[in-house]
Amino acid sequence: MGVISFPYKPIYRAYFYLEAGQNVIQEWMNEEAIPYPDQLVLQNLIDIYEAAGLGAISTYVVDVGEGLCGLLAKRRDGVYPCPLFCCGPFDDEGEITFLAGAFRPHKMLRPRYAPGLAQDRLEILLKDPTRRWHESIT
Amino acid sequence: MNQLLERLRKTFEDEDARYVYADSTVNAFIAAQIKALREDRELSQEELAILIGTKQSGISRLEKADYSSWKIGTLRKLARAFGVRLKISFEEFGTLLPDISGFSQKKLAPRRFSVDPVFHPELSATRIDRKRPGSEYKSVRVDVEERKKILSERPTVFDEMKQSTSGGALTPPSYEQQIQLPA
Repeated sequence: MGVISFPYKPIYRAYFYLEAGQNVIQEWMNEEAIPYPDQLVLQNLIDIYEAAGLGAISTYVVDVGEGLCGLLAKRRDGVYPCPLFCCGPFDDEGEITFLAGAFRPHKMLRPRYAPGLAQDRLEILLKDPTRRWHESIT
Repeated sequence: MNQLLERLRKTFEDEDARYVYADSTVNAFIAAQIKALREDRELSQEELAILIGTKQSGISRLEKADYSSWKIGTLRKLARAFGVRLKISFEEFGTLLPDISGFSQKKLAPRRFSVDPVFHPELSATRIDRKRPGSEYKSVRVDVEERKKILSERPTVFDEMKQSTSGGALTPPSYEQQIQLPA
């Protein structure tokens, strides 16, 4: 049997914070009923990140302050799904960790407590590195 | 077999899903290329806007997340402003993985014609470090006024270019044909 080899080799890693063993971004997408095509766009951007780093998706990344960034997925009615992530926290160059779901209407974050929630989760993660997982969200 | 390929094989069983994923990839690639090329050429959004005859807000929109209303005419103007050629082709879904891994700086910001070693072999004798700040490649700056003048004086030649019809490269197999290939 022939083997087709692809030059794709993940260099970077995207992790997702786990709450009660559940991926918080997956949970958020389900709760907010993010349409599957929009979930695919988000997954596509994460795949690109894993292949080439943040520079490759820099037009989709927004700095939301306090060491957090948002990944802008497909906009609907002027609102971007914007899951929040931090670089690292254990390897600032080679990994990002998604911490909380959020939306970005008109350059603001909704819910407003999302960055605070992400910070709280980051603190927990720093104490317990097992509170995150590397997987796909679709 | 890597995880991405395994996942995409399953995802792509749905026709809509594979087109959404492929469209997202091309949108991300074009936006990333425009930004990377603009920064590599050390152009502000305003300077690039002047070069292609639009407003700064127009460039900002092109670099915006999820922009997808690309016009070939605009891409042609951008290609000329960056000193590169525009390539548009229909591809097999199987090339998505190499495309995703191709989001590297080298691929995102190709060299301008004036430093292309194929047409300027004298430059190939000098190794150009594309990553080193201040390298020969980086130091080649676009003269905005000069480029503006060239653009205003020269009509576009791209419309006159005819695609080659040789070989089968213009008709890649459909997704259904691809997945029916023997293992």
